[in-house]
Amino acid sequence: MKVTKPYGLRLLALLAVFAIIVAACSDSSTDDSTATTGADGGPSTTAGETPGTTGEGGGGEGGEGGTLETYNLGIFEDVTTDNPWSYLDSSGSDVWVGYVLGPTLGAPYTIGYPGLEVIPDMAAGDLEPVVQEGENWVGTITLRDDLTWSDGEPITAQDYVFTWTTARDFGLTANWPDYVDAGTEEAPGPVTAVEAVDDHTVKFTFNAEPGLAVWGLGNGPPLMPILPEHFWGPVVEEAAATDTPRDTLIAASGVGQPSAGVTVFGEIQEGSFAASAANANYFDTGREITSGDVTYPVGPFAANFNYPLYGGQEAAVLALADGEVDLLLNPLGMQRGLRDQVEGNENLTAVVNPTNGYRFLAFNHSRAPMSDPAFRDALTAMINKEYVTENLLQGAAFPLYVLLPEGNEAWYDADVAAELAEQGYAGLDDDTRRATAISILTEAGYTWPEGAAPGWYDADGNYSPEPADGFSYTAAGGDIIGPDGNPIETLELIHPNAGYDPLRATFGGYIAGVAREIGIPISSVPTDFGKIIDIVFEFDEETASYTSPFDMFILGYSLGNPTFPTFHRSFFATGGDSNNTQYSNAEFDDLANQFDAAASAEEAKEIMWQLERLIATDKPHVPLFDTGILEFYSNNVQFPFTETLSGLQNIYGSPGTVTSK
Amino acid sequence: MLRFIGRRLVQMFILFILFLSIVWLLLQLMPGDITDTLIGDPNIPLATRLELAERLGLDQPLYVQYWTYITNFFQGEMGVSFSRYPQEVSAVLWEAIPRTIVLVLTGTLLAYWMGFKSGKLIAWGRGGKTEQTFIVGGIFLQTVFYPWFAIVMLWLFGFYFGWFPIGRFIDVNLWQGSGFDATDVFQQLILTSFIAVMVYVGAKVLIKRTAGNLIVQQRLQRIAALLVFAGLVAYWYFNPAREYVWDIVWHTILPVVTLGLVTFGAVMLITRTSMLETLGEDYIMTARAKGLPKRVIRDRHAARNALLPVVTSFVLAMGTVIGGAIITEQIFSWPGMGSLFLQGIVVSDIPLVAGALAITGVLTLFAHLVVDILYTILDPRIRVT
Amino acid sequence: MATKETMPGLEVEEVEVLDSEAEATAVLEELTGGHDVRAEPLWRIRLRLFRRSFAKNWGLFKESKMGLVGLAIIILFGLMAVAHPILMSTVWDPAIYDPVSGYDAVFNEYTIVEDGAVTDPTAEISLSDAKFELNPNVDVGEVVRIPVQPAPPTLGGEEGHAHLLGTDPQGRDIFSQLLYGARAAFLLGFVAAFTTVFIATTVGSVAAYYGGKLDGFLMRTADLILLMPLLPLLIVLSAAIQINMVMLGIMIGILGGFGGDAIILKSQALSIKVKAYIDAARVAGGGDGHIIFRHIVPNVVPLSLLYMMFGVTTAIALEATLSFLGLLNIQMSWGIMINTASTQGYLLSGTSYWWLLFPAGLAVSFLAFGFFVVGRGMDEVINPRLRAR
Repeated sequence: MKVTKPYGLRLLALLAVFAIIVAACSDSSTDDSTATTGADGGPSTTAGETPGTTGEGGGGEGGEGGTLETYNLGIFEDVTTDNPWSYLDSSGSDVWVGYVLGPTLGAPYTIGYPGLEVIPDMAAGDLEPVVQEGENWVGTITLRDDLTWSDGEPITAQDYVFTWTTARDFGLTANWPDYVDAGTEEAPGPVTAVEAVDDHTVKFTFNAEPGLAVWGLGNGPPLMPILPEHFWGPVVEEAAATDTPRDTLIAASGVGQPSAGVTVFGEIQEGSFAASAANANYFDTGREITSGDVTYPVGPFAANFNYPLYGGQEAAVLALADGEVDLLLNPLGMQRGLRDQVEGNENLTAVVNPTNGYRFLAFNHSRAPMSDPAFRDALTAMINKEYVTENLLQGAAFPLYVLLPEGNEAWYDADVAAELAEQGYAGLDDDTRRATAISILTEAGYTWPEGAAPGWYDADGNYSPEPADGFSYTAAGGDIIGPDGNPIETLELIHPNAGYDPLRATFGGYIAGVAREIGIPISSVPTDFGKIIDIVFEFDEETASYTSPFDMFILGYSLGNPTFPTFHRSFFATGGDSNNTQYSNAEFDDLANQFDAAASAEEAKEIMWQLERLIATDKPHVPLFDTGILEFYSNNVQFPFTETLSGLQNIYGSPGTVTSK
Repeated sequence: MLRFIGRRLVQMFILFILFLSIVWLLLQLMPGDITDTLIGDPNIPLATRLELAERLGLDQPLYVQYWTYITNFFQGEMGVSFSRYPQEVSAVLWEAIPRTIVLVLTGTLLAYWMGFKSGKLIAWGRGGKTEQTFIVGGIFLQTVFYPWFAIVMLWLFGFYFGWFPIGRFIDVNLWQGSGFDATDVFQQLILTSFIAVMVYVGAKVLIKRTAGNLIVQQRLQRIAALLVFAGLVAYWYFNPAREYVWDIVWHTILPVVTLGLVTFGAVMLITRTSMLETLGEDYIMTARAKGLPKRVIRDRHAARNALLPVVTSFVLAMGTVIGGAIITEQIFSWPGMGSLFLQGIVVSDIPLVAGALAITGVLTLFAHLVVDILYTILDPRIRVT
Repeated sequence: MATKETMPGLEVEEVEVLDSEAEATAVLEELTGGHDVRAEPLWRIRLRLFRRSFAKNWGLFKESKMGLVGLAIIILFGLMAVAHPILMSTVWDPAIYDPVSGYDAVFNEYTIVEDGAVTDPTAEISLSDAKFELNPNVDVGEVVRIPVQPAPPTLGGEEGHAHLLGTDPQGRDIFSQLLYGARAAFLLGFVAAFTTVFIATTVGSVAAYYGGKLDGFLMRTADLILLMPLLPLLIVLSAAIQINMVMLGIMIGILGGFGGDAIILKSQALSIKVKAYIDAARVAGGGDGHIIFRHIVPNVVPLSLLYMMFGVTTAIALEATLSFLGLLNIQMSWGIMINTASTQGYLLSGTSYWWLLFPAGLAVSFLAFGFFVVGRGMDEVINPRLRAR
């Protein structure tokens, strides 16, 4: 769920909700700085370089940057655990934990930023396709032979197997099932076994051919972070002997844990700060990474990483201006108005990035008239998103017509998106919108009470369904009547109230207004955010389905792993995990299955745009708008790139590449 | 007397159970639960959410949840925090309580001390510009929109003048790798300050018993205060954690002053009113008629009786620590109970919120008991029946 | 006052008039020194009595300069509250000046150029600025319209509209919001105050009059309510249910009125219960309800009015605080104005966006101040010892 610019309590609410989601969405196992350029990158530097001494050289490679004694990253909520098992589990799954623990983790493959491609990190080369062996398929990952934990111990295939086995046996949740992919006891698979062939080779056995979601681009086994057996082994053994193995494991302390990432976790002082130090034995130090159109060297170029906790954005920005902190990490970005202070200060820089999410109008597809595509289409035609975002919201948001964010450059297709925007009635004037909506409704069999039809009338009362000379527009004089001849009862549109999110509140009021203009009786009901969540996600455990006790709502979604967008299925497929609108479309389900089984990225992209096209046509959701994510940093530090999906916070503030200016 | 206290204790126990039940019930009204925060994330499967609900006991019938909660509470267990699972609520709160108490207690004590002194003085010297200024100032402080006031203070002294740190309670760069745990140092700081106050109170009683003349008494008291304070400073000066303690104190000043100023206004006005009422009493007239020095009348005859309502309001104020701390902690990034409470509300961490409220309830009840006892001791007009 | 049963044989109306006149005369003779009032109906006598005591109390209240200042502040805000609907229906165009949905769109048109290549700041905008102002996906070369908000105060002129206190980040008129906020504050204040007075006097009088178990029950309930920390409780409530202005007023009224105020008013009522005329009324056959509502409550009300004033202060501050935290489901109020400024990040902009913060922040503080000092002025009327010597 995502939202903009809340403050105080609502800000916290938001952060809490968002935090957990973002943590799970952003691929928790990755760190932008831990990727190599590819198979031929090979081990090119010694692993023992200490940051601070080699920093000059490292910085020189990257340009003009130098080393930092301490890199201070402001956070807004407590880091509640130092345990990576818990962090990737639902219990500790929280973006604030991610900021601190994320850069301590390493995985065979990772997501490269800013280009958003899957690149090898601990693995020695690109991911090899699986091979069929009898009834099974087999995949192999070869780890580099120069890998070490921060304490100098080698990282081996056994560590991988240990991590995988523990996550499976302890039934860890949230991110883990995606990494493990072992299914359930009743329905095992697709991964049925993982074994270490030798110190550097991990062999995976599948009982079905894995799609890209499992083996390739999604959060599958190749992206699973590896945890050190020599540290966690005894803890796991002890936990396994208790009545509550999982609870015991995730409650264990992670103080002193070796790291496979750019930083080594140090300490948490609850209520005030968390701290990490540079990983002196980091195996990627000195590596050049090319991602998107940027090439940069991997550090770390800072010796210490501090995460001071701030209670509010204002105080944090003041601290930033004071030089107390270098970058502010916030999954929602900073408030718009704070930019003025930052702009006026030559020591500070503001950047804005597109986010990985969208805000939308949703319909209950089990109730008439929302179940009628023509009805949804007509309503969509009436919504002038440009007018709302520019005039009513004063540029605080921008209109959306497709679900996939434009910032996801690898998947975004501007041509198709432009075409779909047209289908979403982009850029029409109000008269055209009215005429379009009236004609769609009329064609679908909707009528208005005698003499109450919306449309154009001349002085004599002659009616025209389209604008014409001498005719002026008159809104509907009565409520619309459905194709079955029954008048449509008032429909409730629930949306967050202005105190929580003025943007969605404005849209809610606007939509109700334009709907009434053509006789659709929608009443806008500003509702407490928690209440909306309660209503729209009401779940009946007996039938294991959402009950959907609403007509329409406005909310926002944050989208998962950008390298493999699986959210379409989750939101719209029959029985999808987050399909709370009762939408069911066989064509869509079919396409979603094809998408999951896609063998190549091109094919997946092609199918994904077919899904988008279907959504743009059938309109189960109407995407409304999004806002950019605004971030501030101090000019004491510099980054190789600042343009990246969901901003610098999404890459944990880039601890591996930050340099002094 | 003991019977009186005993009976009050029983009453309070019943009140507390009722309070706890009401709090718990109210919290059940809150929409959603912790698992809702995982909703809508395409990466978290439904099964995970249901499993989490089961693990936290959310699938039990309400009365079972209620009974478990109440019985556990009296065994010292406030349950497991939803949002900080698997941490115990009591452990989470235990860390935050000292911070809130220091903030509120220091702020309130300071405000009461200053407020009582100035209230006494302006009531004594009625009329004139000073009184008017103090009254208007006092009322303004009491009625000013507190969050706004706190933000102005933070902006002015933290940023514009740059005299104080901008929120938070320790300087990270200083503490990082210091080997000292902020909570430990904090607790030590509280302990030593408490001892110092006790020593001072002891000295004060001793002085009262031995020295006869009020003027001499006041002087001796001042010397005692100075000595105790010097002792406290000296102790910490030679302590290895010296700079860390100073760091905490340094961060404490601005929020304490901000909170204190608002309380100050109220205390000053209460004292003034109470003092004026006392000054109208016959025995003050008698004292005046006897020709006693004004200072003696003011400080010994009038002020002591005027103290009663002030003490009452002080003790009651102590019971509302969370309420007063919420905004201050929010704006000054102070990691106390108020912040925990707000966070708990936001993520529907019912055990945490209930725990925070229960502690407030205990403190308030305790404060009420102290007021009752103080009244029976201090005011002979109230008889135990 | 006699009732029908004690004086059989006479017309009811006559009985009451005669009897009341006799009663009133006794009182009036004492007060007016024998002035003949026989011909006057009862209501006029009551009015006269009221005016008399009002004049006396007003004389006392007048001595408190602070009280007068407070009254002036309240009247000023009252005028603002009244002015808003009048202005909206006459001078102000709702499309622009509506405090919630109105907006004044002012655009500047720019061409996007590379950062640092801006030569004409009135027609060109750098890429990074455009990304911030509009959309992170814009590109160099596009022509964009950028809204100018929040705008500083302007008196209007040839093409623009007047915004005496500027506009907020959504282009809404701050002055209009301020006036509307005054209405909201009075609504809240009065609801809270009347609920407080109603609950506190009723509970206090009933507890004092009946005593015994009922008294015990009511006072223990009051203890329990007193135990509830007000702000945290309201935060919990606002998270649990959707609270609007009237509900908030009622909640504050109940929590305030049934708590400390009820206990104080009970002791006041106790002192009245033992007065001779209560016994007289009872001997004369007055029922419980009659005695409570005709004799005890009227004597308790003045004191409760005092607490009502302080209650208004509390209510205004609580509303603003809860709105500041974004917890209330209301469209517009002073608290919401501050919340809007803070949600958009203008809270610590110091003095550069003063019109977003100071009007609302000071309005909350001043109106609370006004009610508070009026309360103090009334306190001096009721409590003679506080008067200046």
